[in-house]
Amino acid sequence: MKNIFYLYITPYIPSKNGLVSILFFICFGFSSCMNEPEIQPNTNIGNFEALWKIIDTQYCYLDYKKINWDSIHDTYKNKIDSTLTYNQLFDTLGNMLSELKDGHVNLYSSFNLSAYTKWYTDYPSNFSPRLIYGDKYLGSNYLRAGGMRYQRIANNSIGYIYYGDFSTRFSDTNMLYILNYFKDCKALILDVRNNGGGYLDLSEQLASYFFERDTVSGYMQHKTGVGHNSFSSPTKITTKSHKKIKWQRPVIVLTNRLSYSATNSFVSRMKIAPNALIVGDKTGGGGGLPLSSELPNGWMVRFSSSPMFDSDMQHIEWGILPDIKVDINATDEENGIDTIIERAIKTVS
Amino acid sequence: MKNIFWVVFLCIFSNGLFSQTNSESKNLLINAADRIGFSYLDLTDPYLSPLTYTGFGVNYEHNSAQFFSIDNNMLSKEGRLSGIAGLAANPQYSASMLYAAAKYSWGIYTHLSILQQIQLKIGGNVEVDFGYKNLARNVNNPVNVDLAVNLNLAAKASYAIPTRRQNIMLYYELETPIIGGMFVPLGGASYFEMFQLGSLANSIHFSSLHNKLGLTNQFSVAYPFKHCTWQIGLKTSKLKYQANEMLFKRDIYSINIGVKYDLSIFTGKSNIAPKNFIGPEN
Repeated sequence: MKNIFYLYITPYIPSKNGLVSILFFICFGFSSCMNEPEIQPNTNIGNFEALWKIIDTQYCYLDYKKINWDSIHDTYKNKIDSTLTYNQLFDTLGNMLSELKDGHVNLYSSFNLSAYTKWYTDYPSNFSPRLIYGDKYLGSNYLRAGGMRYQRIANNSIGYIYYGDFSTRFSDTNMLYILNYFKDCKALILDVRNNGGGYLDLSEQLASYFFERDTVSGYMQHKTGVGHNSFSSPTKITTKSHKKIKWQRPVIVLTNRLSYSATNSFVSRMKIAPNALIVGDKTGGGGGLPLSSELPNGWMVRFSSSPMFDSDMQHIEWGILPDIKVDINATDEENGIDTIIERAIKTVS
Repeated sequence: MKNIFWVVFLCIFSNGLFSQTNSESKNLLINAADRIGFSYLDLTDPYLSPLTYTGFGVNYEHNSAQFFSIDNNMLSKEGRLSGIAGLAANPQYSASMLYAAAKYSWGIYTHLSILQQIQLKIGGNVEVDFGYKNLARNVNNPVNVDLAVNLNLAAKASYAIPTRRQNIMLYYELETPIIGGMFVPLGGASYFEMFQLGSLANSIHFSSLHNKLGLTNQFSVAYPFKHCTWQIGLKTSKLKYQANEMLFKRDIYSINIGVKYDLSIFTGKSNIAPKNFIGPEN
C-alpha cells in the first residue's frame, strides 16, 4: 500500500530538474506563442517585398477597386534586381503604388516623393486664382480671418468665402465675425475649390455651422486583420450642430477635382446639410484616412487605411457628385468671370 | 547560597527588562532611494513602424520600502515611481521617435533570511505602466500610447559584505509580469477614429504569459561614503507583447547612480514625533 501511494504521488512532485524544465517551458514555451514578424532585409528586393506586404495587408481599397495585387507583385518583382540604383528603385516602387490610383498613397524618401496625380490632372481645373481675386469677387480689399478670405459680392447681396486649406485653423470667433459681416446677405457661397484637405476635425467644425441638429453624415471603418476584406463594423460620423453659431440661409459649396481628402469629407457632410447645394465639378475623392509605415531602407509610405462612407453608406473614395455640375467656360474666364461662382449666384438669386 | 541565587535571578530578570525596553523603542523606518541614470533604448512599435528604433534616454527612479509593523519583520510594502525620456531613430536615421514613459508600482514582499549576510524578498506588485511614443513623420498615426496594468512577480536578494568600517551591500532584483490588462490599438485604426468617433473596440486586451513576456533585472552596489549611502547599478528591462496581430518590443538597458536614505514618518495623533526629532515645520 505504501509503495502504491508512493508511485501515485511521485509523478506530481517535480524534481529539481523538473522545476527547471517547467520554468524553461514557461519562459520559452509561451514565447513561441508570439509570432515574430518577418523582417525584410534592406536590399532592393527586401524593400520591394516590404512595401508590397504593407499594401497587401493594410491598404483598404484593394477589393473595392478590384486590384489584383498578387499579379502586380509578379509584374513589378521582375523589374527589381540588385543593380537598381536608389533612384531607379524609388521610381519602380512609386509606379507600383500608382496602380492603386489613390492620391493618399505616397512614397517619401530624402530625395523624392512619389504621388499619383491623375485624379485631378485628367480633369479641367475649374479654378483660377486670377478670377477669384479679380474685382468682381474678392478684389484687392478682401478680409481675412483664420485662413478664410471673404467679401460681399453681387451688390453686397451674397457673402463669399474662399477657404483653400483645411490645415489652416479657424476659430468660432473667426466664424462669428465672418457670418456677422454677412448678416444682411441672402445667401453664402463657400468656395473649397483647390482645397486639398487637412484636418478632419476642421471639416466637422466648418460643417457644424450649417446644421440645425446633430446629424449622422457618414460612416467609417478600419482594418481589423490582414485580409483584403477584414473591416470593423461601420462607426457613425456625426456632424454636430454648433450650439451658438448657425447659418440658416442658403449656402452654396463650390467644388472642383482638387477638393480632396478632408475637403471631400466636408462636402460629404454638406451634401445633406439643410439649405446647402454643391455646385461645380465632382470632388477629387480621397475617402480613405491615410496611415503611415516604413520600409527597411527608411523610406516612408503613406496609404489609405480606413475607408469613409457617405450617409447612405456609399464609398466617397472616387469623389462626390455636385448637385449642379458646372465647368468654367473659357470665354467667361477670358472676361474675368468665374462661371461656377456666377452659377451659384444665379441659383440663390 | 539563597542570596547568591536571588542576585543571579535579579541580574537575569533585569537584563530581560532592559532588553524589553530596548525593543519597545524600535521605530519603523522607510528605506528610500532616488536614482538617475542613462539608458539605451530599443523600441519596436508596429503601429508606428515595423522598424526597430534605437536611441538613448535619461531615467529617474524613486522607491521606498517599509515593514508593515514593528512586530512583523517578515512582511514589507514597497512603492516605486520611475520615468524615462529619450529619443530613438530608425536604422537608417531617416526618422526619429520621441519616447517618454512612467511607471508606478506598489507591492508586498515576504522576507526570508537564508544566511546572516543574505536576505531574500519574494513577492509581487501591481504596476501601472504608461508610455508615449511620437513618430512625427507619420501622417495620421504619429503617436501611440502604451497603457498597461500588470500584476508582477518579483524577487530581491541582498548580500552584505563586511569591510573594516561599513558593509558593502550587493542587491539583485528580478521582476516579471504575470497577468494584467493593456491598451493596444488595431493596426488600421487611427486615434481620430478611436477617440473622436469613440470606436475603441479591440483595443483593450487581457495579458498573461501567452501574449506578454517581460523580465526586469537589476544589479546594484551600495556603499556608505561620507554622509550618504551611494548606490550604482545596472538594469535591463526587456518586454515583448502581442495583440491585434502586432508584436511590440521594449528593451531598455540602464546604468544608474543614486542615494539611499532612511525616513521615519510621524503624523496624526498616535504617531507623534519624539522630542529629540526636530524639523523646520514648513
